[in-house]
Amino acid sequence: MASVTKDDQIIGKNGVFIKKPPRRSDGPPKYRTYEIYQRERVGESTEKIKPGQLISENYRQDPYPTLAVLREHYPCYRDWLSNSYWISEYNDVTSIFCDEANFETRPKSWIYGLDNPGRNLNDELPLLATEETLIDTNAEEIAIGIASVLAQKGHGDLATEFAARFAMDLLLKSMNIPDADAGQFASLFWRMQRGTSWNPILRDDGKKAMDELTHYLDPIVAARKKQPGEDLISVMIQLAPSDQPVTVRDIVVTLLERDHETLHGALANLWFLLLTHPEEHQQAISSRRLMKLAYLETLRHSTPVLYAHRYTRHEVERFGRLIPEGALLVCSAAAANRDPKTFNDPDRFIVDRKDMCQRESRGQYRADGLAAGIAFGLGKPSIHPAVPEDRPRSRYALTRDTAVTASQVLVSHLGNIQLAKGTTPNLSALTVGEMHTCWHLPVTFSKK
Amino acid sequence: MKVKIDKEKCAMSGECYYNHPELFKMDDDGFPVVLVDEVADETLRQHAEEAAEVCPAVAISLED
Amino acid sequence: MSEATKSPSTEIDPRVFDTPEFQKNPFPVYQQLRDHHPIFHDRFHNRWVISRYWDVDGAFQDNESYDRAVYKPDGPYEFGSRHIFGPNILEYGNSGEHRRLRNIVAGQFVGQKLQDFIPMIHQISDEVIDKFIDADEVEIVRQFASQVPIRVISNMLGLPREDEDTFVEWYQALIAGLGFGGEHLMAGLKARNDMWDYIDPLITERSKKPGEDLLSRICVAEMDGSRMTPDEVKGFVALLLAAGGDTTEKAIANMWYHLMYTRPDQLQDVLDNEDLWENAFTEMMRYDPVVHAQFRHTTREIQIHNDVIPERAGVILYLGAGNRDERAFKDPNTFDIHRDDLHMGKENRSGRYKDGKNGHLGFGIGQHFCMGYAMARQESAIACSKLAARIKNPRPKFAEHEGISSPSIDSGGFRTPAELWMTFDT
Repeated sequence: MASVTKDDQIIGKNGVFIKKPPRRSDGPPKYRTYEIYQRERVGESTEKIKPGQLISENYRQDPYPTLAVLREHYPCYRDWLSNSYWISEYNDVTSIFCDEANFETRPKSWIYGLDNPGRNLNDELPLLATEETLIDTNAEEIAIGIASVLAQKGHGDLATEFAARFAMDLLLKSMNIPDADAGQFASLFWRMQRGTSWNPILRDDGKKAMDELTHYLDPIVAARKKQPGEDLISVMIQLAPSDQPVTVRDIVVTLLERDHETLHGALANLWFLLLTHPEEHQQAISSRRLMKLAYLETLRHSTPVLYAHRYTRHEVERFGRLIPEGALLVCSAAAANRDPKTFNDPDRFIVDRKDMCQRESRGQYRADGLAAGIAFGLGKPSIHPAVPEDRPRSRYALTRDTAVTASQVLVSHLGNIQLAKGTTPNLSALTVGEMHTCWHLPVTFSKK
Repeated sequence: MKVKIDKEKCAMSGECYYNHPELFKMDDDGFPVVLVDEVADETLRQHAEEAAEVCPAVAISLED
Repeated sequence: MSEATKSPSTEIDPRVFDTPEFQKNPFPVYQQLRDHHPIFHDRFHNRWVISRYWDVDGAFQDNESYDRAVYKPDGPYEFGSRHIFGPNILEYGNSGEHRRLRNIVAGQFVGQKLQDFIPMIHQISDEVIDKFIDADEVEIVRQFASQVPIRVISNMLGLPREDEDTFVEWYQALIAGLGFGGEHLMAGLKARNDMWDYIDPLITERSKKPGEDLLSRICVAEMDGSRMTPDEVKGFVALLLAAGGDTTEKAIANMWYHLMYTRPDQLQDVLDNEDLWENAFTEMMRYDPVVHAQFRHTTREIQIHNDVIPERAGVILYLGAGNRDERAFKDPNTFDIHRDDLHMGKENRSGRYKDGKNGHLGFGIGQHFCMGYAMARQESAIACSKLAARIKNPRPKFAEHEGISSPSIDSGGFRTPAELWMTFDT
C-alpha cells in the first residue's frame, strides 16, 4: 500500500488512518460513485423480502412490517433494484450518522446537478442565532393566529390547515416574505424541494422553480441590501463567508438545503397519533412536558422522514459486509426507531416512555444511557452535551420546541378535539422517497 | 519471428486482437495492426502461434 | 452538465423499466431514450442507460472503461461466490483470469471443432421432430425449441444417451430457478447440485483419459500451461446450459414467431430456400434479440453526450435499443430477412465487416462477444430447416398471439413467446 503524507491523512473513528477526501475546489463537487449493478441470485431465493416490496404501495402506506423483516433478517440488505444497501438496526444507523470519516452526505444541490450550485449557509452561526430568536419570538403568535381561524370554523383539517400551514407560515415570517406573495413563495419552495427526487419530471420542474425563486428574490435582496431588516434574508446578505459576498443564488440554495419535512410531518403525525390514541391524547394535553414527550415519541414511532441517504467514502467493512466505495446506504430511521433491541414494545405509541432519551440522537453517545428517536433531516446533531451560552440551540431542539408550542396553543384554543365522524385518516407517503405523514386529518372541536 | 497478416483473407473477426492485445490492435476499420516488429520473447512467440491457429480466416502467417 | 429543460412528454419516468408493459414492448421507451436521452441517468435504480447503436458499440469495444466484472473484493466475505453457477467466466471482467478461461473454451465452439458436431445436430433434430411429426400441430416452444439445444449440449459433452432425459430435467429446473426465483430457485439449486455430483466422476475420468467430446476437451485444454480446475469446469457446464441452451432455444422459437406473425409473407421465402434461415436468424437477432441488455461498470469518468458518467457507475447497454437505431439501419422497426443494410452471415467479434454493412448487437461486441455465436447460428439454422423440410404448409394455429415478452429485461431476461402453436400438414 502506498504511503500517504501527513497532510493526506485523517484519523478515522477507530484509529484507522484514511485518506482525506479530495479538496473541493470551485465548482460542483465531483463525487466518485461506485455503483455496481449486481445481482445476488442465490440470495434471491432465500430472501424474505424482494426489493420491489420496498417501493410498493403497501410499503408507502405502512413501511413498518416490511422494515421489521429487514431488521430481523438482513442487517445490511442489498437492494439490487435501486442499487443500494439498507441499514435497519438502531445501533448501525446511529453509527453511520456521525461517522464523517467513512460516510458522507451529498447535498440536495448535487441531485439537481447544477453547474453553479451556490453555497449552503445553513451552518453559519449568525444565521442560526437569528433563526432561534425569530422562531422563539414568532412561533406562538403564528400558532395563535392559525388556531383562532380554526376556532371560528368549528372544524378543520389539522394536516393542511394546521401542520402544513404552521410550518410554512413560520418560514415566511422568518424570511419576512410579504403576505401577498405567500402563496407564490410557498409553491416555489415546495416545488423546489420536491424536485430533489429520482423522478426526472419533478426534477425539471424543481429546477425551473429554483430559477423562478431566484428571480423573485432578486428585488427583495436588492432592497434589503440597502435597508437590512431582522429577517433571515437580511442576515444572510450580511454574511460574507470566505470573503465572498452572498448572492441570491446562495440564498436559494440555502433554502433548498433546509429541512422542509420534519416540522410539517411531525406535527401532522403527532396529531394523527393523538387522535387515534385517546388515552395518550389526554396525557399529552395535560402539560407542556407531556406534550413534548408525545412529540419525541412521535418522532420515534412515526417519523416523517423515513430514511437518509449516505454514501461511503471508501470501501468499508461493516454490518457483516464489505461495502464498495461510493455505495449508497439507505439508513432507515423508521426501521431503527422500532428496533426491539433498543426500545421495549417498539410498535406502541407510549407518551411517557421510560426507555427513550429526551435529547436528540447523537451517534452512539447516549447522555443518560438511553436511546433517542432518530429524526433525519435536521442537520448535523449538536456535538455539545450541553449547549454553550454563545451557541444557539440546534435545529432539532428548535423544531421540538416549536412543535410543542404550536400544539399547546392549539389545545388552549380548541376544546375537545376529535376526529370528524366517519373519517379514517392514515399515514402514507405520496410517492417513493417522500415523507410519510398524514395528509388529511379532519377534526371537530369546540371553541374555548 | 515476424508476424504477417494477409489483408485479403482477413475477415475482421477480431480473434487475434481480442485474444492477444499485446501483439495486435484493431485499427479504425476493424483490421488488425501488428504491434511488435520482431517477436523474440518465448512467451510472445507462443502467443503468435496461438493467434495464427485461432484466426478463422487463416490470414496470419509467421516468418522466421 | 445541465441540459436544456426537456418538455414533460420527452422525460422518462424511470419506474417504467419495472413495468410489465416495458417487458412486453420496450421499443417505444427505447425510441425515447435514443431520441432524447442518449445518456440517461436513472436515479431510481441508480444506474446510467446507453441506447444508441454507436454508443453501445463503443462501450462494448472499450473494455478498459466499461468493465464487466461484478464487484468481487478480497474480503473475508463470500461476495459474489453465491452465483448459482458457481465460479464462472461471467464474473471475471477484463482480468487475465477471464482471458485464460475464455481462451480455453472459446476454441471448442468454432471452426473444425464445431463442424465435428454437425452430424449430431442433424440427428438430434430429426429425433425431436419424430416425436410430434405424426400429429398435425406442435407447440414449438415446449416440443421443439426447448428440446433440441439441450440434447445437443448433452451429446456434445459426451453424456450417455440414456441420461439425456434426466439432463433435460435438470436443465429445466435450473433455468426455472434462474428465471423465477423463489421456491423454483431451491429446486434449481438442487438440480444443479445433482448435476454436479453426476459430472464430478466424469471430470476425473476424462482428465486422465480424454475422449473426443467437449467435456474431455475442456478438462484437458491448456492455455499458458494451465488447465481449468474441476470447479471451473462444473461452473462452465452450468453456464453452458443457460447461455448455450436457454438462449438457443429462445432463438429458435423467436425465429418461428417472427415468420408466422411478424412477417408471414416471408415465411414462404424461407420454406423455398433453406439458406435463408441464416438471414432469418440474423434479422431476428437484430429486430428483437434474445438478450436485450448487458451490464457494465465504468472504471473512470466518461464524457458522453454532454454528460459525465462518474467513475465506477453502473451502466446498462441496451443492445435491443441499439439494434433499432435509425442511425444504423433503415426502417429499423421493420422485420425483413432480405434487408440489405445488415450484415447477414457469420458475425465476428470486432463488429466490422468487409461488406461495409453494420452488424447486429445481439451477441455483443469485442472482448465478451458471445462464445457460442457460430454454434447458435448453425444449430438454429439446422434445426429449423430440418423441421421446415419435413412439414408442408406450416401456419399459426391461432390468428392472434400475445407476443414476445420476458420475465424481466432488467435481469438480463431472455425474450421469447410463452407459447407458439403451429399447425402443419405432412
